[in-house]
Amino acid sequence: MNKVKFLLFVTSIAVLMSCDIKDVKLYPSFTHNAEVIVNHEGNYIEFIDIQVSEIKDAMAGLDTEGGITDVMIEGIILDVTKNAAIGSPDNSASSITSNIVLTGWDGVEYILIENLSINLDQDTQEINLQSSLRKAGIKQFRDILFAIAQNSIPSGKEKVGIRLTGTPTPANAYINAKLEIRIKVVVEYSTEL
Amino acid sequence: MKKLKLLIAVCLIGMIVPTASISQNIEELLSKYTSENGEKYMQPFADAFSANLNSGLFHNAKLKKMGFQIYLGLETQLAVIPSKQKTMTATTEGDFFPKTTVPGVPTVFGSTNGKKVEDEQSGLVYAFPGGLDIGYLPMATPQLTIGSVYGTNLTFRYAGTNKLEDVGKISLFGWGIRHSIDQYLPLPVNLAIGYYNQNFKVGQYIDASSSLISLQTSYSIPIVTFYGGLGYEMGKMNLKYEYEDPSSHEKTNVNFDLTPSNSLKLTLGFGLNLGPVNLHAEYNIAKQSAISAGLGIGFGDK
Repeated sequence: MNKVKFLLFVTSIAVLMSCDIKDVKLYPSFTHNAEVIVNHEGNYIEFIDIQVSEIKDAMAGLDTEGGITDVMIEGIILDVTKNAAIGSPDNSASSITSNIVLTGWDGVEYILIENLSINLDQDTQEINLQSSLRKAGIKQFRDILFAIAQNSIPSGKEKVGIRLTGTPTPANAYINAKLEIRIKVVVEYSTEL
Repeated sequence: MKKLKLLIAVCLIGMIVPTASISQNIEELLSKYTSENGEKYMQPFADAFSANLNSGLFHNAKLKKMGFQIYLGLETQLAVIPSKQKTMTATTEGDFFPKTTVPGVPTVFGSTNGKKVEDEQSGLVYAFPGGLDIGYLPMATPQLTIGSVYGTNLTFRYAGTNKLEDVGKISLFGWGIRHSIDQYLPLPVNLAIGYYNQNFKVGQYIDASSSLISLQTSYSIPIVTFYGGLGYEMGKMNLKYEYEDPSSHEKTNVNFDLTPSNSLKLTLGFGLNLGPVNLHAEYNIAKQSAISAGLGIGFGDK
């Protein structure tokens, strides 16, 4: 709110005499979190469903005027918390190698992250996934987000499916870890000022 | 986040910022600019605003040694924004990796189109916000100059408002003193030295001050006065606001301390003396140049 006041003051000085209506691009952003607890011995397969309604609500929360012209993913962070499942066996894996796959609305699976090695030597850690991301998967994710933003969601699609698979080291070790994915989404609005 | 609409009606006493309405949510324009990028983004505004403040402060250098001199007028200023002030080199922030330094990113005066940077390997995209595509920054202030005692006169500027909704109180106060040098020296032109100080505040958002030391000269023929000056500017501008992240609702206090980059400036101008009416115009050459014109009534002020 205060920022708006500040900006409006600056622009009221700077713009008023020009009186032109200008098409301005705005880039509000939101961060979506999705998590899964891997509580399993040996290889694992876990699923995360991001509800379309959650994305729509997040975009609505940006409350920015104008038309959406693009949706971008600025960053994806993975937060790992060891021994998150209380009452389960302690984690005995020293590391896991993980793949994350996005199921596109065309039914095809797109690799988001491939061969990500996570050392489970710390209780908590934050991993920037940039170096493990695959461009084709990110593009598909952007397309889905843009379709949600444009309200052009294919019939019957209510969620975005993400599948996580992984292998512990040593093999058959017990994995007890929470994997939380933070996705920063930037929405481009075109609006008149 | 609550939709924010604001109707700004700014009509300062004597400070001609035209009444207008802006009803637009532009809160994300600066949302990524909370650190060094933000200072770079706003620096041209500080430069242009300072250039305007330090323009139109005098229109001759002729001071009586002792006698009544008064001038009351309206000074208008226009900082023309050079193209180099419309772009900056910025560095990606936040969750985007790898950190990338990008030239040609818009400043507050730059293109309304933002600049996107895509990491070729991952497909992640960082978007730098655009500017307002503004080619000039106008300003106007009322000004009173009165003297002269021992070849010294005083100049005042004042403009202000009561508390405006959503903005706060806006005030400008400036004062200056100058002293005739040619009263001591037999010179073919008038010569004076002056010092000016101005403060400008907008609620809790902007606190700016500017000072100018200037050596002034003028030469008059009937009706026309040619004048000029060499000045040294100093100033600072503090911009601050509170940013609330729309998704996490975390609040961040953003604070920019800017130093206008103008220092030396050369003023060249002329005035028309039409009875008590004085009309003058000048060009101020500096890193951020400004044009100024003024119209006023003076007595004993030629």
